[in-house]
Amino acid sequence: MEKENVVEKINGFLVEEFEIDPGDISPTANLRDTLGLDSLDYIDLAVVIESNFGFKVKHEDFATIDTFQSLYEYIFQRTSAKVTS
Amino acid sequence: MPQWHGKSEGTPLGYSIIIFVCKQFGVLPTYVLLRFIAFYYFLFSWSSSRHSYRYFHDHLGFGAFRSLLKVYRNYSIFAETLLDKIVIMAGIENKFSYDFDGEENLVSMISQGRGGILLSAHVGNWEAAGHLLHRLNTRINVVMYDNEHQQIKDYLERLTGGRNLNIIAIKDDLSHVYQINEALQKNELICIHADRFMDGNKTVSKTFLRGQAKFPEGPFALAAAFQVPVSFVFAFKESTKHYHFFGSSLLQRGNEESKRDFTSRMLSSFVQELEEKIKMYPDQWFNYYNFWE
Repeated sequence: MEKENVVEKINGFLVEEFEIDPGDISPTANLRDTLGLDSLDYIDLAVVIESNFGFKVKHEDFATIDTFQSLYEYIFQRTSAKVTS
Repeated sequence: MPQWHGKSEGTPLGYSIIIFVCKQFGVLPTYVLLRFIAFYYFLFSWSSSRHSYRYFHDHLGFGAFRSLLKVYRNYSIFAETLLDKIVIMAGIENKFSYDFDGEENLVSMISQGRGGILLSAHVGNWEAAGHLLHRLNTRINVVMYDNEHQQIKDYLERLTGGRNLNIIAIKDDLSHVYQINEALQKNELICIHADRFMDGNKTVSKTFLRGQAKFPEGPFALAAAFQVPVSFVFAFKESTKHYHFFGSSLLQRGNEESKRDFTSRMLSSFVQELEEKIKMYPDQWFNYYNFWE
């Protein structure tokens, strides 16, 4: 999947699941603050990522995901790795 | 702001003394000791007693004197339920009996093979009756905030051997995300208390016992996200040695139902069910902080 398609898909489910304004999404915006995530909401995020991309997010990986850009990169890497493996 | 601050009263030494007395003399004599401890809290713990008093007086409508008596009674039964929980889970000899309303709902939950979520509250003594749920042939995972008193948790885990009940702590490292997911995939049950929240949690305000109270959105959103069956479970002490367990009919998210709608429907049902149970067992409300806005 092309990177642009991944970004579009991610933004789509984030807007739908977390009921945010699409205009609030920018690559450098803080993911936790923008989505209003609390500790239980990360489970929700893990579930929607798994249902949309078919892989589980390791809990330690969340530590590296702080902005939308880092989420895009992470998912793109995981989906690319899945395709090549 | 009305919220719980994540720590419970008591010390490991206190628990050790009570367990020692219980093992040496039995459950009933230990209740006598607990009545003195309850009286101590009644006299000297006004910071929590005032909230209990307001609960009985303002929210349940008891008179001033009766509310004061109820505050003491509430401490006393809380202490008994703590002891009962340990006695039952540690396998110490006892003669507790149970009524079990709604066991078929939990059997149905397990038979679906997708795991399930049990929503409860800090009322009665769910964990004691929950020990009986081993006959459902699955494990129960209790989700707790990490900053509950760690020493007490460790002590209780040593005492009970961690059987049947597994604790999943909500931690900053987000390890609970993986553990909850895994548990549901293994057709296990997740139990969350859905009446308390901590700073930073999303909340929803509901009319509850003559006032507006905030409830955490997280446990309900979790159930909506996983689309697994949900039951509200409560267990109340009805006499010295008898408990009554309630497991509600299953709630499930419909195919066309949005996550938000299901979360809202579940929350409203939970608050209604909790209020009904509280009115049946008013002495068994164990939230010792300002619950209402």
